[in-house]
Amino acid sequence: MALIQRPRFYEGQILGSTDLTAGLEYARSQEARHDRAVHSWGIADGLVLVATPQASATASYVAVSLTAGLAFDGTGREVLVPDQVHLDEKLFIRSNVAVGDPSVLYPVLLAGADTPALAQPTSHACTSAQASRTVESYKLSFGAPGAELALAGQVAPSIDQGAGGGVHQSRWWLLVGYVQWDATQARFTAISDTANGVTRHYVGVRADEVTAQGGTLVARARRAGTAKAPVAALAQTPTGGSLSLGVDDGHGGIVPSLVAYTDGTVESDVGTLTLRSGVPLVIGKPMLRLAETPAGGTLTFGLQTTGPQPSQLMQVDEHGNLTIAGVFNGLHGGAVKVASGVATDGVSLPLPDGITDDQLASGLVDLHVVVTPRPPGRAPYDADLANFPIWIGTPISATVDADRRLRCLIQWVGFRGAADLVEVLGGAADYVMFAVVKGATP
Amino acid sequence: MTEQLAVIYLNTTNHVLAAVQQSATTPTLATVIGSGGLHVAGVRGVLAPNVAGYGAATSQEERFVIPTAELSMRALAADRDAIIQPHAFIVDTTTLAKLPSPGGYRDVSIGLTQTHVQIGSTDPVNPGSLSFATDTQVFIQVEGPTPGDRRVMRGTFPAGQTQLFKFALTVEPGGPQAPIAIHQRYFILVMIEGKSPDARTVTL
Repeated sequence: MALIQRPRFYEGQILGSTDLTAGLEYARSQEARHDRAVHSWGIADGLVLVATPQASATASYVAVSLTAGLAFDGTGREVLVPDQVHLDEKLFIRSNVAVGDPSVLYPVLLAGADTPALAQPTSHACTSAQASRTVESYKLSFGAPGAELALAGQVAPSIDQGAGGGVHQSRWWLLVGYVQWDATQARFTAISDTANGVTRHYVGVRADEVTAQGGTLVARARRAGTAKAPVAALAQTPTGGSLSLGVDDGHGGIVPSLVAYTDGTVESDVGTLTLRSGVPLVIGKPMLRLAETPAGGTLTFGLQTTGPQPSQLMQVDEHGNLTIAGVFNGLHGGAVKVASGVATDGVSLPLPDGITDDQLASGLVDLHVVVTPRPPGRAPYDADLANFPIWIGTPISATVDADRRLRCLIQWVGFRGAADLVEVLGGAADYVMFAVVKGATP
Repeated sequence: MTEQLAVIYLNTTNHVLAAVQQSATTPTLATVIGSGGLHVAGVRGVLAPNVAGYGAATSQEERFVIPTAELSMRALAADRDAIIQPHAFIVDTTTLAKLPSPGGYRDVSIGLTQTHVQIGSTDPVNPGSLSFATDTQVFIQVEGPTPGDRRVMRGTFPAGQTQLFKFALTVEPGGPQAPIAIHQRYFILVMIEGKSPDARTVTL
């Protein structure tokens, strides 16, 4: 690669044609590099295929033309079609791309092409035989079915190069649409914008930052004024800013559907606001929907079904009525949760489901435990029944400490005439535990 | 569906130490042990007046806090007797099994020094005549003189060896020896594989 040179002149210099041409090429190449590096190639305006139905006595076909327009190719070259141009059937035949299937689509391709030309004479004397002008023209061509797939593989010039499309330079082809061809009539029969997933490519901007000057930055999927085309607008507001997503009102304005504000508010202007974890129609994905109703509104949580509505696992209406399909595990003021069972001495009694130690510690929940010692049986284990055939067991403690640990001891008395035996052993107790949730403070 | 009983047992010997049965749910070990470990009291021991060969007697005041690491919990088919007297049972793989009853007699004598727990035979003349037919696991815990001050040991009675077995006092099983002070009162818990739990009190 070479460094860029620009011509400079001095008084008395004898100027050659290369000096003057270098001055022009410097500016032209600079602009091409800008267009190539700062923008992406594509159609800037117009260049639309138009089909006009035609009919004869035996068949029908269409006359196809390309509207005037402007494009920039991958070399940064400007490709201008100044007037609407008819697509010549003879050109198609000469392209020799036709196949027998009348339903296939043939890409219509456009490229910039320089043509040397003589200057318009200003007098009849001293006319030059050398071309002194270059016509920045264009060339139309037809590709074979599927040729559009190769367009993305075109290679841009190195960064120091100027625009392409010169007399001895390869061309960068732009797709402007597709035509269908009837070989019997030797006529076009239809047009299309897309084939094999390849469609018309419009110019873009390469940038990490785009800054608006007037407080609003708008992105559009279609030209302004295209009714119902998606529009996104980032706007400064008196309280911060908003990001609106909506559709074109047909006059370039936006009809917002969804607005996100910098204060964290997300607003729907279409009556519903839906959060969904997956793509549409994937059954089982969680969904949350806030919806206006004639009576007010509802908040619904559920799983995605085959339809647009979530299954109603939980719903809150405008009156605060809560409807759930499952089991309520949370707490509400005045609720009582109960656990019951039997435990032996030393066990820390488990809390009812949904109740935690933190809730007890915070005072949100009061705990009440009722303990009833279990009958200990006829004799303690390992009792010396040969010497002490009769035993009586009496609970002497059945309490629960601050850690909910059960203390349950049985005093056993073994009888053997005058010398009785007394032992204190661990026992068991039935318990019922009430966890009472305190109500809200008035 | 079979009613389930959650039993808490010693890893070393499978002795059941406690049991709990709660409606609708099966609690976890952490929730039923509470902080620090499982509190165990009311374990049967040898009553005074003592038989000469039994060694230390029970005070019926023994209390132990078994470290959580020494315990497991399992839900097994409920057994009414295991609920009211869990110390009479062991976990036998997937069921509860009742320990054989010595009928008020003890199999071993238990003693305590500043450095060891001594377990021997009940023969007062020859306490070193204790032996086991198979390798037998034992869990020993010494608690005292203040709550939280404890020694925890695990060991084995090797098959066929006849002697007075001595287990060095350690704060944790396998840890360095940790002697205890004299003129203090200590609770001893001895759990020998296949035999009933035994609790004693010793003042050195």
